[in-house]
Amino acid sequence: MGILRGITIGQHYPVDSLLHRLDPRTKILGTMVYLVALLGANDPLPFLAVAAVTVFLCTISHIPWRLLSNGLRPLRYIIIFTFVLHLFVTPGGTLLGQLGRLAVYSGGVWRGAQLAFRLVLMILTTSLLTLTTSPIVLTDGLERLLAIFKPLGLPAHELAMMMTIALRFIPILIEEADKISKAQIARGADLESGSLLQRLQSMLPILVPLFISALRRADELAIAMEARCYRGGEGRSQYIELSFSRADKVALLLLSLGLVATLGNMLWSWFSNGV
Amino acid sequence: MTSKYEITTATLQGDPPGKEQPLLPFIRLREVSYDYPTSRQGQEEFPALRDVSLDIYLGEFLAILGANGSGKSTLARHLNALLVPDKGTVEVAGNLSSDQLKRFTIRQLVGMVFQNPDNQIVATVVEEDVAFGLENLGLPRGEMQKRVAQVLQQFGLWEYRQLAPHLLSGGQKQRLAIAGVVAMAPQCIVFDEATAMLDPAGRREVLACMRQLCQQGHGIVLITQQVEEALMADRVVLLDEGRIATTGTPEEIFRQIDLLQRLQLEAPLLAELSWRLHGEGLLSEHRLRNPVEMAADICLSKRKI
Repeated sequence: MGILRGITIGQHYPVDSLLHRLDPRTKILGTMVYLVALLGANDPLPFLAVAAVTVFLCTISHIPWRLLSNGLRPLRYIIIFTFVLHLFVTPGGTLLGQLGRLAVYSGGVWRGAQLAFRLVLMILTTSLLTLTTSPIVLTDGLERLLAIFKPLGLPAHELAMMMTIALRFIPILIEEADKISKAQIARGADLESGSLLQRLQSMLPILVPLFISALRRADELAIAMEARCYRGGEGRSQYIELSFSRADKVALLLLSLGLVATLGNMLWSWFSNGV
Repeated sequence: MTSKYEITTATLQGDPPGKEQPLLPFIRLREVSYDYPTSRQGQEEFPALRDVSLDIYLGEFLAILGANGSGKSTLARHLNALLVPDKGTVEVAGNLSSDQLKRFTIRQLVGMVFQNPDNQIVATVVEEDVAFGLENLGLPRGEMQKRVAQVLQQFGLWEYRQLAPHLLSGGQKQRLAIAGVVAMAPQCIVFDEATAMLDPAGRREVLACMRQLCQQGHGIVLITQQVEEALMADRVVLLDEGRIATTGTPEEIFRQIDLLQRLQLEAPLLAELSWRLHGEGLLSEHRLRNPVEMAADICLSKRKI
């Protein structure tokens, strides 16, 4: 279960920084705009601009680079796989080399590198959102942002509560998974050796009790919440006060400009390709 | 100030309540029976509760004792309307639990602390978990901040207020669960085996909290299998197969060693010792007392011989 320990998404790193002080709603909107910009940046220049924004945000967050890079470690195989896959299957550009039937083109190198870096940037920025915002503040921000869709029947409070509970139970379930795997190892289970399929099969005796335990916990938590007068979002007040500061207003202005630039870039690419 | 539901020392000792201020039970159970839906599918029907009648007063420390499957937790869940009886009534400060509109009020009046603190802490930060119940009550932010600060200090958790709950010790987590309930200002608190998962230090912490709350005038209902814990109660109710087997003061209950054994409960060590020594003719009478008193009694008996 070591793989779960390295994941930084969902962790909070409490230090004082401009990013930490921003309202969660600004940060959530910022992340959304960022992701649109990242997915829309296909040419080198916009891509480098988005990468530069990521480096800037990571620097001003005062979060150690080591911690941020730790978050990438559990997903390194997916990143490498993405790069290698595109290296061999994406044609275009000049032929760089051949390995039997597999050919590597410059287009494949660029596409593979772009998608791998896109994944890296995506993980870094989403980690930044949770590392700079306490989970409860984040869910409060999300609830208030989603509240505008309430008239359309969106259960904003329920979604936020589900997220809070999920975040609350991450460390408990990691600990539980650790205990179960140790118990299974003590009873002779081999979780480390064998082929990928065998290793996946050996995870079953861990996953089944983990799921059963999670369901039991969910049931007990629901009863405990009911005992503490929980009735959903109706008539509920909020303990945390959220307010937009001057920095938030400046950030929102910059975000709006970023969004306009992103949409402009996307339209430009679309028209250029169309022509 | 004592409310009309509050018990006094005189009534605990068996004196009738004063004429000028009639004593009303805060929680009144009348012939409560409950059967879990799943148990009906089995061949042998085994109701969780059968004709349970019980009165609980404010300022009283009541222990409900019973072996596994005796119906303790089912009874506890009836006290704050988490379960509603199939037959009979549960009334909390005049509010019937069968009335759906009264359940919210009942849950405000009767708080509940469960066995596993990990499964009752909702928020990801200590102080926000204390505020969870207050948010549900719809209290204004200023009032919430005041109450959160007050209970965190009362339960010695102020310095941990910004921590994630999973970083606390078992005893601290259970204190946090209690603080979350106390912040809602219930008049009675039910502890459903709240010490069962704790180490001796954590257990002592939680029992000290219960004593403190009882002294402050809360009604305390302790659901337990640990007879040693029941010793600190004012009154003990013994449950067996969903029925009340007997009720009385700890002194009265723990003298009945044979009954405890029949109900698969262990008597407190001193009670068992006293019972055995009395059986051997070394003690003049069998009752709960400390070792020094017992030794004195043995010396007296020897001298007579």
